[in-house]
Amino acid sequence: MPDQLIPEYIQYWLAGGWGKFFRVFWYFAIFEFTRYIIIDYIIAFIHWVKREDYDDRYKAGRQALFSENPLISIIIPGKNEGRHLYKLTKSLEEQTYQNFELIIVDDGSDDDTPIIGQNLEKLGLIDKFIRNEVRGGKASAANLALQYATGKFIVHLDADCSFDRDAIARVVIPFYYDEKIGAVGGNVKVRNYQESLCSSLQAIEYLKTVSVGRIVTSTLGIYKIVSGAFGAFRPEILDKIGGWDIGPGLDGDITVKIRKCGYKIHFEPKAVCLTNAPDSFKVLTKQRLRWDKSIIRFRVRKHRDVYFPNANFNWKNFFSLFENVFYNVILDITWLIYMADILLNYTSSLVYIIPMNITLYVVMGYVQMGSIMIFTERRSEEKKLFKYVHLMSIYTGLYLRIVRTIAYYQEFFFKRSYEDAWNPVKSSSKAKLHGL
Amino acid sequence: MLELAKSKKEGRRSLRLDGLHILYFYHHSDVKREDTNHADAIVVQTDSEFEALETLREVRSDSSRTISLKPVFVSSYTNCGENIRLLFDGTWTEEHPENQLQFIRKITGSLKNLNTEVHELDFRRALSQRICQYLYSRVTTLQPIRTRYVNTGYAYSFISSIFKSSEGLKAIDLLDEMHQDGYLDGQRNEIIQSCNHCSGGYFNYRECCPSCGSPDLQSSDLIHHFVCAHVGPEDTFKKDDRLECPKCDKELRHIGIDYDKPSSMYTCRSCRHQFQNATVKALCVDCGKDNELSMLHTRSIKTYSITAKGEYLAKFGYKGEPAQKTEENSSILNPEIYKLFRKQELLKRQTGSSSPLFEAELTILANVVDRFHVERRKMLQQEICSILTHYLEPTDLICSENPYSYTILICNSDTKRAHLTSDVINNNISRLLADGLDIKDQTVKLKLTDISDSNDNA
Repeated sequence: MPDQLIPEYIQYWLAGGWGKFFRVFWYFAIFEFTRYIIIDYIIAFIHWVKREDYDDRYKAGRQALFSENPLISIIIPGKNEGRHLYKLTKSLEEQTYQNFELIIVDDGSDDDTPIIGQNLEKLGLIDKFIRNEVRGGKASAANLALQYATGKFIVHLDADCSFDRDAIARVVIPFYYDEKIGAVGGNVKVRNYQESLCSSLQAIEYLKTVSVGRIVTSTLGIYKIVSGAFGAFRPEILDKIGGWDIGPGLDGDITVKIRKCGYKIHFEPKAVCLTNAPDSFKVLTKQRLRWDKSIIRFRVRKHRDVYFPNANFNWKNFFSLFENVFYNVILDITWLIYMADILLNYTSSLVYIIPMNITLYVVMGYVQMGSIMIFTERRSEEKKLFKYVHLMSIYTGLYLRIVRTIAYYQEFFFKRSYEDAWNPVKSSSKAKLHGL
Repeated sequence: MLELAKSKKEGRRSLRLDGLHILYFYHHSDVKREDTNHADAIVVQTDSEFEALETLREVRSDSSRTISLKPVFVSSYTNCGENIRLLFDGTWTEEHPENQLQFIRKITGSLKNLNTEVHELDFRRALSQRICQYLYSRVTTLQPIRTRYVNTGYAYSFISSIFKSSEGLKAIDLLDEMHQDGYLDGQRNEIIQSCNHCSGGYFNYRECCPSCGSPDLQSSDLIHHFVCAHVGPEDTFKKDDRLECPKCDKELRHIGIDYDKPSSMYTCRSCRHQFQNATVKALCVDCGKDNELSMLHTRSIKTYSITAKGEYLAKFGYKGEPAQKTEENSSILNPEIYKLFRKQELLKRQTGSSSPLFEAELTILANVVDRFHVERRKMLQQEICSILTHYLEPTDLICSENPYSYTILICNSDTKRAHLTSDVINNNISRLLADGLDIKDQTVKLKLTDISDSNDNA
């Protein structure tokens, strides 16, 4: 039976020709292949051509940073992060750039974080440990840290991250490239990629969407999210925009706010930060529901003004948000249309379409890994992920899509992000009331 | 009253009552009177509390035991506080002196049974014996008396009159030492903390800037505005008598609804440092130095009573007891044996031994040693002795009577080696004190002398 099916399968696609192929896989050809293969490789080519310019620019920026030696304020807001603090200070002690102050805000922790933080402060490993007895949410904790930051640049970190030795220097050097750069995003990678299948798949996803994806959007000038785990800001701009607003999704929100003020956002792929990704699908689902809801809340609802012609209209801002909304929300709906199209019009051919579809996505996954290998500085480690690439079509094409669809539905119709326990009720209820 | 006023004017008065000779002292110099030694009791009648205490001090610290242990009463006419009166053997009232007279007879009777021979004792040992004799003769306990007159805030009858008011801790240490040696029993009443620099017990506790130490701090509540997540000091929200968010310009009307106050922040007016946890420091009222709370010395204040061993000491002195307890470190000699060996070594040099003989005097500054409790002092002494034995030759001799001073006899080293050894010892002990106690100043003095040709065999 399989012997008969394989020649029949090949026969089916040969007989159909390119016309039928595009008719059946229009979704893949128009959206996926174009965005994730063609554009990625074009950008990779541009980077290769301009590599010397980029090197020169980096060297000049580095020299300017180390000559000026400005104070950098590293701020870390969080709740119950005490167990990470010592490791974090040790990771920062290894940095090539050492003129920084470390400000940690404990947002109403109910574990040993206050004791740990106060001890580290006494030992001089933390410059300022600020304890909020009452939890206010991550945005308020970050804003509190901002109040007491005195550095020329602000670097926002998550406590459970660790950093390459030159990460802090690299994340602030782009500020010397261009005065209009208002924020710089660091490259967040998965530290525990060998812990479980779930974390391995996320490691590949991060490489695609963060490492390569953000190089592409940054090169195109439409980079739209400075990760909360590792990002740098000019304090005067943060003052101007009033710091962070209520989350979840406050990192994407603040990036849009900075863009709207007329500043550029830069992604620095070599400023590498490692973080632990959820190691179970249950935790991951919860996290992604939260993240995906924020796309509707912030990019569709709160910042909808960027889509309309007004005095502050800017095409890059428009495309920045539109690309995000298009590839997540619109294509999610389009995918449902596509599925209906295939199911209704090609019901009898599904036995040939599904294997080809899987083949296409697996092949595309490996081709995408090629672009990752072009950009990455950790080739040998990332080669270990190759064995999981074939599962990515199920992970991103099915699992993440389903989670995303649920999140969009919940947020669009029920504004469920305001009920997320990630933020205290007192803040969320007020934000909902004021449509923020 | 009239008689007393007259006698005061005369500046001298004594009474004979029921065969007892009572002397009146009006000034501390009266202790030098010729008839003091023959008196059965002394009544202190002065203008001021200070003068009364000075007179008591003169009596108690007199080198003659018969004088220092005499019953001393404070006159009811002397203007002094009730706690100060407790330092005396009682209050003297001329109208009804019967009880006091009986008490005097009891004391003088007891004192007659005691060994008042003058031995060649060091100050501490002599004083320990006197304390036991005082307690034995009065059949009493040493109760801590709250008073501002001693720097620790607590005084004891008899012993606090011997030490200066600034040496309250020395008195407590001596009593603790006697407790450890078994002469006294101690029951804890109170715990005090004393200054790391001067042992004073009066402090001004203040919240200080952890950066510059200044107490000039300003505290400000932090406000969290729920709507926009802005957090800042309360004064940045104040606009006239309203609270207005500097980020979103909305008015904050209701705590818990619009905003809350998650914490507060100090700002140092001196260095502008901002912090949440101020450092609490204790400013010593006596010496004016700031102490970290963790650096304050903690001492127990006890009520002491005499033990059977203490009574033995009071009656018979140190007969049968070793001159100094050095059993913890067998390589340390007591002074008598040291002198004997020293004499022998000198004699050897006089009869032709070729190697020179050196004597080194190692002194640890008293204010360093006095910081410690008695037990710690012994540990320090042992630590220093172990350093000495480590660097000295087995034929060299060490003598130490107390943690403050050490005498070393270097017998078989040439001049160069003796100097080298003394330098190494000096460095190591200095480092021990500097590292362990965080003392930066010079704490050790070591003087090396060639005594090969000395005729001093004492």
